[in-house]
Amino acid sequence: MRRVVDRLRVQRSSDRLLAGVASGWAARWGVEPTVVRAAVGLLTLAGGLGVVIYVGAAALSTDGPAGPASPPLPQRDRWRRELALGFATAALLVVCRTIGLWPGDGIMVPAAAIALGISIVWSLGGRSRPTISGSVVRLVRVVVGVVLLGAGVVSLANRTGGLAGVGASAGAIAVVIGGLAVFAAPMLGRLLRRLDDERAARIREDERAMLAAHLHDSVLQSLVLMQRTSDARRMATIARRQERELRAWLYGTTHDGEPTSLHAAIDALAVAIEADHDIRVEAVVVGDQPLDNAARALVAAVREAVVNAARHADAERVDVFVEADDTELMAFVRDTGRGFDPADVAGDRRGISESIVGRIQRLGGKALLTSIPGAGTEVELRVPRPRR
Amino acid sequence: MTVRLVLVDDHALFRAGVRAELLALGGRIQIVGEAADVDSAVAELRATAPDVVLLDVHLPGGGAPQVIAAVRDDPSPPRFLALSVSDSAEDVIAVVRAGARGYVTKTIDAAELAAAIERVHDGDAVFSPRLAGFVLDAFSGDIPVPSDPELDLLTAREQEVLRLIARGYAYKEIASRLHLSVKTIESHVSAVLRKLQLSNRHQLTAWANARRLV
Repeated sequence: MRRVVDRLRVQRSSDRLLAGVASGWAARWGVEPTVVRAAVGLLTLAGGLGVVIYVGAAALSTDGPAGPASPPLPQRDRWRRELALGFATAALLVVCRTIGLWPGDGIMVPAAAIALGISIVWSLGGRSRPTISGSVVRLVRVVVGVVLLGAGVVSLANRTGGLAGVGASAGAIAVVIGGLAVFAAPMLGRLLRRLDDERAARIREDERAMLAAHLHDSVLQSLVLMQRTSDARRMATIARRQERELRAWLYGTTHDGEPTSLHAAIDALAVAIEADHDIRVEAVVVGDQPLDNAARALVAAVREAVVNAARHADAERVDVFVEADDTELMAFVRDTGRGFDPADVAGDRRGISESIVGRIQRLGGKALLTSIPGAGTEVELRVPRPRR
Repeated sequence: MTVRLVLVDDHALFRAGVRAELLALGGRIQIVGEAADVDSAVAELRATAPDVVLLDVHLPGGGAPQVIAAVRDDPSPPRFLALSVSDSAEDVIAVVRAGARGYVTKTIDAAELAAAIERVHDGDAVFSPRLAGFVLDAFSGDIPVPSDPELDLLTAREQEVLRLIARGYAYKEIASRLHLSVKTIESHVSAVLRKLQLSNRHQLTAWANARRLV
């Protein structure tokens, strides 16, 4: 008994219609939630047995996020389990019929047909790869499902007699639409779910890219700097500053003295990079704008370009020129160092592709990199400003 | 030809550094005197009659404009090149409007500094990236009715040259980028300098007024 209770105890799923019990079971058994729902619904007609089971399970259930989801089963296994669920339901129904929990064959047979039809259509599953033989099987199942469904609905409707007379045509239309809706719902649902999944994946990817760009500019740079110095005090300084910065970024706190204008931010950047690297940063800013998102991204991209120059160009000086007005922010970062062939930069180097180009392109701007081996490098950035 | 130079800066250590670097370049530039404040600078200039004066923007006893003003009416005054760390646009532009032929920052390297001194000696203007930025700033924005369009506005070509200077390009590189001769670039820059010194643009006047220079 205890084992049975345990088997029935579910973690209520967040994918819920009522209390999440059916989908909880579905998740546990690795079957389609709709199949479980159909079974419960059918049992409900049998003297309310379904409701009793459902409420009992809900009372025993534990709330909260589903535990580690079981890996999705192969289509064949799922199908077998759903079949088993169907037989179990049929067995329960036979028992109900014997003990008298039965509204009559006239209702229960069509209802069973409907439940079976729904189950067959819904359990098509969306995960298996479409193959030709798969499509044929699928088609057969859809047809069988829809026929069962239609037969059930029509015989129910005939039995209730509501379709006689005036209501006949309206009822027929309702039956057809209802049948079509049930038939189309799983596909529509799958399509919506897939769109949703893609959107979520895109958002995750964007967030991951932003996070990677930030970590590359801050933490990774600091680690490289620390590897290059043997002075313990300097190492500690770098580490402390990085810690402060990361903390501020993580918790969204900006400490006093944070620049609020583009001009101030570029000046601060020049000072900071001169302190960290053995290079002179000549920063010239024409015009000024408040430090909004566009300006912040520009500053971050400029910082990355200047750090690249400091680390790779082998130049004494890097010139930064920023010009800002209401419609556009422009920045040029130029060194007369050793230069490189952009085609030679390995794809896994995030500096240029993500921290500079990606950052600017996400804002609808343009980033252009010109480098001549032996003669230096210039990075040109342009970001349009949203009209205020 | 040797350029005779006087160094005016209140930091002895900085003067020593510049002297050593220019000497290392070999006789092109001869340092004939040094001074650390306005009064001693004026006395030194009159005593040595140099070709070029390398002048710090901020000096005890006043500022670079006072030094320039004091000797402006002397017979054959020297040419001035302003040199400083990182000053406000107002201060730098005041020095240039007082008569300096250019402005460079102290981060300039020795070879570039020598080239700038020689350029000033030849009567050309010297714009560091920073000065180019200041000038673009001062001449940007609309003024409804320029009192003298000839002086109050920069031409498109002049703006282009200034932007390239601000981006760190040398005159020679600018010339080849714009398919012009170095001489043409120099004349554009000199024209900008003249406008900077003579323009009545309200920003420039306001700065000058605030510094009691006009």
